[in-house]
Amino acid sequence: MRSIRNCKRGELNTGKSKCPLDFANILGAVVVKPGYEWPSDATAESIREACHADRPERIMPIMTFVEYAKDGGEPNVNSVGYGGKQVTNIGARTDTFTLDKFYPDLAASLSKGMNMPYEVFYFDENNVVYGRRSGDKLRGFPITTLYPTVTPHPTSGNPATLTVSFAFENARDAIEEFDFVESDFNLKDSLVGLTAVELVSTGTNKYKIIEKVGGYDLTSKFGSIIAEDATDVLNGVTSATYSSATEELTITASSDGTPSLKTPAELFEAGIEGIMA
Amino acid sequence: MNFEGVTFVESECVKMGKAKFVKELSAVHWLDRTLDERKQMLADAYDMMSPPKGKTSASKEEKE
Repeated sequence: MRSIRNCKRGELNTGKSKCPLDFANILGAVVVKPGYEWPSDATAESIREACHADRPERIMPIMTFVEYAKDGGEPNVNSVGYGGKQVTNIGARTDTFTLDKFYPDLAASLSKGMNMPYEVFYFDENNVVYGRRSGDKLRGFPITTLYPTVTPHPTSGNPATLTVSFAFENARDAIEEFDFVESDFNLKDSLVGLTAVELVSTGTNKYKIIEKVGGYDLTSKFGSIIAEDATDVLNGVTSATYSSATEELTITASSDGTPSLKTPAELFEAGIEGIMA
Repeated sequence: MNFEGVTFVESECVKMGKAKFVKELSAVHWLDRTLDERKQMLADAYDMMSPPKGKTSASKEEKE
């Protein structure tokens, strides 16, 4: 027997939630690998750990947003011959968010990752996570590109700015499969993007931890814990100690290694958060 | 292993051998002490990580 089709996809349903969501301002986005499902049992701790996971499992938050602008995503409606109008498609959609400040390191990373395949979740001031329904799971909106738009220096009337834009792979799907989950913990406090740092030598056996962009010295913040847990957080070393007086690490390198930080997942296990080598 | 304010990475230190370990690290740590004191402390630290036969290393004691 031939396959039989039905018209379920086109059936109109005009019902609404008995408890409509109060949509709040979007505070940030979480960029993930394609196929990532927002965990139904997410906690503040598990989300923080996911921010430090090894790639490709790592989730990457971008925040804090202070403005939203939508471009496209409108139905294209045209008449066909002498007949009435019909919708031919939903136009391509790009969402653009303005960050609270210009961050050159974030802008550099966004630029480098512009054409990689990602999916993206949004989260708002009320800790609601927005994405696309997939079965009984929430997935991110697939995007074809994400890119920064940079004004790197202030003008006479405005500060330096950074916006991030997400171009949707399927604008119609983003409407028809739109879904959300409420979190019972503060997402903005739990999510953390990793700052790129390096362990640099400042003299014989002397080292500092500094940010790759701008060179901000993080040694006073992380030096003590890195020295105490050297076995778990450093590669290529035989010994380590930290001086709070000089704000320097004293590290002796092993014969077959160059001192370096371990992966963010290993640093997170040792209680070091928010940085990556 | 943490010893007198210095963290030693046992797996790497033991590879060095005691003589090399004491010689190289005596120029780096505890510089407020005399050379002889530094060498003795490093020798003690090495023995804790890789004890002479018949004794248990510091890390194995921690695990037990």
